[in-house]
Amino acid sequence: MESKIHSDRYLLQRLSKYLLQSKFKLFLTFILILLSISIQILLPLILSTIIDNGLLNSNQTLLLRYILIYFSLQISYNLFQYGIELYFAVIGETSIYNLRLDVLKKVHQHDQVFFDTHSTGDTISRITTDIENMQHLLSGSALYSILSIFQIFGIIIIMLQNSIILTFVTLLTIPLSYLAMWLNKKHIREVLQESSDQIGEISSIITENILGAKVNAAYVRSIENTKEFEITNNKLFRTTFRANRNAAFIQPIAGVFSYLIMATLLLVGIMLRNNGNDEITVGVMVLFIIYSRNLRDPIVQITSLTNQIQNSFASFGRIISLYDIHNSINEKDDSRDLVLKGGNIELKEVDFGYSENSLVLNNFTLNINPCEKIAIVGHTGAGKSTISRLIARIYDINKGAILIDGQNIQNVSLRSLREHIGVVLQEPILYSDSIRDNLNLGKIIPDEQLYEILSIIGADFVKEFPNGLDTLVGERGSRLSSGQKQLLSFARTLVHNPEIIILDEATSSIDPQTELLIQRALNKILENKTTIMIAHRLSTVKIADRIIVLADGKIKEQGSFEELLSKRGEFFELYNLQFKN
Amino acid sequence: MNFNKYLVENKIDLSFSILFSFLSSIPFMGIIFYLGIIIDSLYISIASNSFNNEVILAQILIFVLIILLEYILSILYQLFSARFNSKTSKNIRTSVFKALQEKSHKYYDEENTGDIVAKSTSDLVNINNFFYVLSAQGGLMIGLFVFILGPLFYIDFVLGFIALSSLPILISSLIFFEKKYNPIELSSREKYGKVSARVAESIDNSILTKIFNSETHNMSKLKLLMDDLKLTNILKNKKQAILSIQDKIILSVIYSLILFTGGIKVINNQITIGELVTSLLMIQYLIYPIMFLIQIVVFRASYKAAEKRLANILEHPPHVLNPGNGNKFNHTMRGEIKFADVSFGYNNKLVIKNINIQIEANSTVALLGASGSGKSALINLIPRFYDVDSGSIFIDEVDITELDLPSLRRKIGFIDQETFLFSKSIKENIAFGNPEAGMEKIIEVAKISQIHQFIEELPEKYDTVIGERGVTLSGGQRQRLSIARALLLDPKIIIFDDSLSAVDIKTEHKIQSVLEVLLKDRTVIFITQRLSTVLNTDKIIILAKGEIVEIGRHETLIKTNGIYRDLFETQIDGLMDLSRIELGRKGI
Ligand SMILES: Nc1ncnc2c1ncn2[C@@H]1O[C@H](COP(=O)(O)OP(=O)(O)O)[C@@H](O)[C@H]1O
Ligand SMILES: Nc1ncnc2c1ncn2[C@@H]1O[C@H](COP(=O)(O)OP(=O)(O)O)[C@@H](O)[C@H]1O
Ligand SMILES: [Mg+2]
Ligand SMILES: [Mg+2]
Repeated sequence: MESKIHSDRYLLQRLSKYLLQSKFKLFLTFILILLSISIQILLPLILSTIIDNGLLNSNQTLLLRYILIYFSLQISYNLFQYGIELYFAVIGETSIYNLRLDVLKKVHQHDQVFFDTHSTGDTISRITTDIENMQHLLSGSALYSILSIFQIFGIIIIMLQNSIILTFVTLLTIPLSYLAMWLNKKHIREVLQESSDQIGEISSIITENILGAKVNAAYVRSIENTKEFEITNNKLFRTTFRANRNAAFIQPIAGVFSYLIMATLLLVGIMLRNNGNDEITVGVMVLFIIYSRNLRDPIVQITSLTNQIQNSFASFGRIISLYDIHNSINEKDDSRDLVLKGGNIELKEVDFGYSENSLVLNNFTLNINPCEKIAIVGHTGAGKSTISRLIARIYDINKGAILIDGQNIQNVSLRSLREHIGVVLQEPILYSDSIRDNLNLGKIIPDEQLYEILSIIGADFVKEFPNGLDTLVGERGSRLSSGQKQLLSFARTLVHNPEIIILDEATSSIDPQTELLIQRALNKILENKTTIMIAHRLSTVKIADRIIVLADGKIKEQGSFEELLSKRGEFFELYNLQFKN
Repeated sequence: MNFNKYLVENKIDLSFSILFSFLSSIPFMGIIFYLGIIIDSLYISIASNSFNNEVILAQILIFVLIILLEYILSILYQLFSARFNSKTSKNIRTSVFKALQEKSHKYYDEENTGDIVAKSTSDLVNINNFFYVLSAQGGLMIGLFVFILGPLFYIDFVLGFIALSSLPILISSLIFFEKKYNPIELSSREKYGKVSARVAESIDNSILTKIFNSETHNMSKLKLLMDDLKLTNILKNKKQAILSIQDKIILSVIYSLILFTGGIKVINNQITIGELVTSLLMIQYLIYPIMFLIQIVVFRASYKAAEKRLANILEHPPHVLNPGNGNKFNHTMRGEIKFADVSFGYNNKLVIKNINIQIEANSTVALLGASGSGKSALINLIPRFYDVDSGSIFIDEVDITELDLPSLRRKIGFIDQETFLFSKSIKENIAFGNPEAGMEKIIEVAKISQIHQFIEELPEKYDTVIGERGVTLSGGQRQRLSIARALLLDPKIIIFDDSLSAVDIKTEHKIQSVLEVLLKDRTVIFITQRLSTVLNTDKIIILAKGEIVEIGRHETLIKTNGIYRDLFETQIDGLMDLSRIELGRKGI
């Protein structure tokens, strides 16, 4: 996903929120910074006094006194700096934490289309690497750079009291540094954004190849994959090299300018003195030389701040695009909770397609009575899973209406809708947590109840694990067999005990005997529930009150098992294929 | 783990970078030194009230030349270090990617995707940062150090000695710091990896979160990990701040001491005022190498952490090793497979127990058994996704561990139970094992897998790019694509792991009748839950808890009053008969 470039002002506005969350700490750092800047302004002044009054007048007591003052100021300066660093760290970590939390919350609100169309690896990279890149900006160290402008003013005031002409020479630093900064800023933003995008791309290639590691191994793909990876890797190499190369020319310029100013200062100072201006003492010259160097610091700081800002903004641009919600599944303002009165489901003249130009369901109508058990069979890609996703409002339909007990699902709150509907997904999804956490998903349910449900559906394997419910299942349940994953996913829905249950090929990887056991149990569990079963095995669908034969998004036949067999149509044909022996 | 080889790989850029960086410290210090000289001339002129303009002008001119020299040298070292840095980071990324490709399945079972991504992106950056500061600044800092202390001693021995005395204190403070800091950094990185892993899972499992309204639950899990990371990072920063204030205070003391001693010496006319200014400026510059050392220590901690975290990618050899000069099947493979006393387990828990099977060349074998009985585990051993714990597997009477691994895998069409497709075009997905395959071949296997017609109906046909992991396809469509992908290899041995579970009966039937011809001269092992498909197989094997409980042909097994018969009857008609279930469960 390419990210668009937002205006700086817009980005700053959105960022300030995170900084302002630590208002009090920010204020304290503000004070500490002012204090340490004042010391920084004073120190050269003292040094110059030491030289002119202490050394050149050979006054040892004065020398000692001033050195003590100098020393104690330096120590306080260091202490202030320590405080500043500490506060910056806390502010930075807190802001990053809050930003990441916000982004994650938003990401949870994105609709499924977002997840279908965005690469996981790139999204991870935005939430991790890009947010890390914000560290500098969000730590408030920007504040330091901005406040160092005060240093410039302080320096100017002191300089003016010593020599007006030398002051002007020294001040040349400012336009020159600005020039250096301007040179630096050019293009850097684009380069940074480009490299962030490329890092995102790298991360998505890596992610995909980790997930597909087994396929890669089976098809001996390492050479080809490496070749493909190298294309992006080389692109990233070129981008970073280009950025660093440009920086090599531009970065040292600020330093050069400042030394050139020193040279000019010396020249002008000597000329002035030559013309009889006795304002110019050795102490004053040292003062100006140190100030011209100190003047460079805030300016260099501001330059590097602009760099950091560019860097952070490039990342923030990528983060923002996650932040802005991609959600077409909206709740109406006046949405109420779904009130279940039996569990009648009506799909009325529904049109739906994942893309504009091809409809999966076309004018689809289906009425499911309260507590009815309905089975859907049909060829792969007929739209069976799609129907289940539409009822849970994972996607919105294009036309028509879906009603549950007379309430349009678009008019009820999403939470209540999904509370009442339980979908066992075709592909079981598990977290790399314990079995218990995977079943509960945050709900507090006693272990006995979990074990009871597990045993009802024949998932006795959990008991046989040494750690029982505490067994960690691995990422995506990698430490379980596919059938075991399906059983857990099934159990999870039963644990949450919704009134409407949709089983999307929920037992396809489970052996016939366990399945039979499940069916016996289901008859009881599903007694007062509306149930939609999607399945291919006819033994699975036999318990349904009504069977729907779906083909190309349309109902081809429907009726009870016996009715359909006696019709001698499509279903009969399937029956014969499966039981021909 | 050792990353030195990347330094060696780019040694030219690295050496030039360090060299120029070191050289640039000469004009850098020259500038300061010359400032002192000019100030002295100024002082003498003022004192004697006679200005020798030419001398001073010449001095200033030299000053400017030194400045330009410094600029040129810094450009040079930055250029070389830029190239060194970009190149090494590219090379390390390549190595990590390559190493990930070689990892066996056991590795991926234990690791989390998000954490691997964190390791191969942001931990890599940390390695690079360390190299970068070393290559770009190392020379300069060494130079500064030498050229600060050298002239100081030259100016005055006592001043030099005072400056030098700071060194042991500073260094011991760094060593002390490093001991405490490194473990914190490592734990911070580990926690970052955990956050990254959980973030990855949340994104992957988005649909589950929606269906179960479990945002809050998921967020609270994320929050826990993030809290932990935050606290560790704050602690880490605190330690850094403490170190830097310690060292700065030491420097302040040194500075004041030099100012005092130097001042007295100026008063006593032992050194000039210019020399004192130079010394003071130099001490101010001493902060650079000191800060650099702190930075190096901090960066080295991240580097060390990355080294540790990447070690299990880069260092540990894969569990499954390719024998050096393995048999590459230069003769044609017959496709006879033999399991001899094979046992295998995950994490010390045996799931395959002492299995012996003889599979004749060109025969078809069906594998049945309850979920978790070890069917997938057994067939995963054939292409060596995992290696056996004991016993051996032979293909054409050669132990598979003696076969060249890529050749072995290329001869096996393995259709996994869980389909994985890449977010590439359909064409590329089918031709995954042989990117050079022609379109006719691709269409041919698509037709056999009964997916051609569907593809043709898509607007972009074979060029349609499918979503990550194939999300834009239905389960059955994915399975059929993965069958086509395996068939394209034209493998001698084909293994189907319940690969038609999401395919409807009619399509399954069609696929089977087309495959029948194709599979005639191949060895086929298939796992299924649909008994209608096992009737004509040469051998049916029933597994229970990792052991073979029945083996034979349909005709024989159906006659023995055993598990197979129970299974069979269960699926055919016994839908409601509990007693039979009970019977069956005793066996399986
Ligand atoms: N997320 C998606 N994006 C685009 N197309 C999809 C998506 N999911 C499914 N499809 C397409 O919609 C059609 C119906 O899919 P599905 O409902 O999953 O079928 P099934 O009946 O096998 O469950 C298929 O042709 C599939 O390719
Ligand atoms: N990667 C793994 N790590 C640990 N245990 C595993 C792993 N994969 C499978 N298992 C366990 O091994 C047993 C056999 O699994 P499997 O062979 O997948 O069964 P199936 O017969 O259903 O294919 C199961 O109990 C499962 O929990
Ligand atoms: Mg489906
Ligand atoms: Mg299996």
